[in-house]
Amino acid sequence: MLYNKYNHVQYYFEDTRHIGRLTEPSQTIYISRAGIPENGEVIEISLAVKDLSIINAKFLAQASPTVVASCAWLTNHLIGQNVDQLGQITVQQIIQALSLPDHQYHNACLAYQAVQRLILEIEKDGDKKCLA
Amino acid sequence: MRLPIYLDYMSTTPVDSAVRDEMLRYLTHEGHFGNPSSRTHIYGWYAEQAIKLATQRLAKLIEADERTIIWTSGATESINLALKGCAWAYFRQGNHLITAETEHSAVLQTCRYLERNGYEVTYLKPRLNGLIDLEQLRLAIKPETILVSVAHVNNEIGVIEDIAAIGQIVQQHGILLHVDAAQSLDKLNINLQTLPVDLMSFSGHKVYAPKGIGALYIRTHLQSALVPLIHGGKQQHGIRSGTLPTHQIASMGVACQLISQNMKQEQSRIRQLRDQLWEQLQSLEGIHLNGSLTERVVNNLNVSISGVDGESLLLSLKDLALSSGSSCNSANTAPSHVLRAIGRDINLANSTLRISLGRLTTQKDIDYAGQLLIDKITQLRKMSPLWSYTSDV
Repeated sequence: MLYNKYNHVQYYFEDTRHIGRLTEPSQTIYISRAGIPENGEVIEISLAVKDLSIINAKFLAQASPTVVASCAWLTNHLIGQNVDQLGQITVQQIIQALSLPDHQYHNACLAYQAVQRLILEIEKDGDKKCLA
Repeated sequence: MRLPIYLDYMSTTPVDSAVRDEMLRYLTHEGHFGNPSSRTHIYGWYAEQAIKLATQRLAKLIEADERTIIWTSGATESINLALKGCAWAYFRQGNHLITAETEHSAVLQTCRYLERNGYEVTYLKPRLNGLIDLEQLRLAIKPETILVSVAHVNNEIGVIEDIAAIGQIVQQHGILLHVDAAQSLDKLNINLQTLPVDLMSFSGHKVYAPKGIGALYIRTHLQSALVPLIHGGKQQHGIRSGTLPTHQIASMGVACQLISQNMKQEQSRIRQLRDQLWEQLQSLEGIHLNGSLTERVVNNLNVSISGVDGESLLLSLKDLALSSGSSCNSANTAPSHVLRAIGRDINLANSTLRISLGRLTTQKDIDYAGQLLIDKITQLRKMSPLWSYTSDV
């Protein structure tokens, strides 16, 4: 079994608190997608931002358990942070948080890619600099 | 109900308690532990008698002469012996073999080995229902063809090949037919008096006997020609040397006896449960059955599920023990070669479950499994950005 006591994939995979898509019209919502639909692996992360602070984060994913777990950890991690902290997220951070083995590096990259796209969206929208 | 519910009977089966009891009789000093080749004392005679009885039990089940049975360590060894043994024996007549793309790795890898050693192999592409196209088989036969190898029942999608029709074609051309019957011994009536089959491989652990025992049926006229894989003390007419494991063989004999006694009722009960599960799954959209529904063993469902990742689905289904394809390949994340051969695209092939029921599967198990499958598939689809998104997530 790929998911065992040595990593936290199963824990975050089963954490359903942040599954969904943010749609509240009263908030500023940023959405990004990553993955290749033709390969059956796509994730979507949505953030609700108020006064440069991330007040909520949700994700959708049709992907492997590791990718789902990356999204669950990431959304949980982002809530309460300032948008300029988004640029500090690294692939290594996701790998460490989930205790992933080296050969699953690419799975953490997908969540990282979604974060990079969120940064671009936010910067495009309000000329805010997310890169610390 | 014991969780996780075991629904992977095509991977392996638990040893039946009657089989275990028989096995234990041949292990300790109090039992008949002798070497069945020892002709000089009663310990050996008892062991020999146990082997003879087990051979008779298997022979009776497949309607064959007991002299045609060779005990092996399992179906993989039987297949290796059949394919390599025939290829080496008949290399002067030809160097061409025919098999199907959907065969078990034991056949495919043995064929690859033969290819590396100067033999030519044709891999037949199956029809969309998973079965061999008989016309394609006819066209693939060449003057150099010496052997055709097909599985009676496919180990992933459970489809049943028409062995009689294949055998007829093969016989017309004077070629040998090997049938991998690892998955069919306890599910289908096999009559080797009437089936035109020259070699047939069996496995113990698929039929409630222990792992490490199997058998190869070899038609009598072939026995002197077949080149052995294992040389030694000339046990089993020198075709497969090595001290016979009395406890394993005796236990497989009892497993065969149980099949002879209970197959009809057992298969009818399992069919009912399988059909109920299939009906339940069909309440969801995007569920695709792989392989023919009619030409299929009663205990198998192999379904591809749109809108979910296969690995995530398996992890969600912790309460069920099932596989995404052949368990022999479950460490391999590549899509199933069987599903690719029958034309499933990679995404669907990757989101596939093989559900196989067996002797200990109960009504409660299926009720629970059906509901769990529906709940988890629905849950995963709700979190898919590709599947039609509903706002009530």
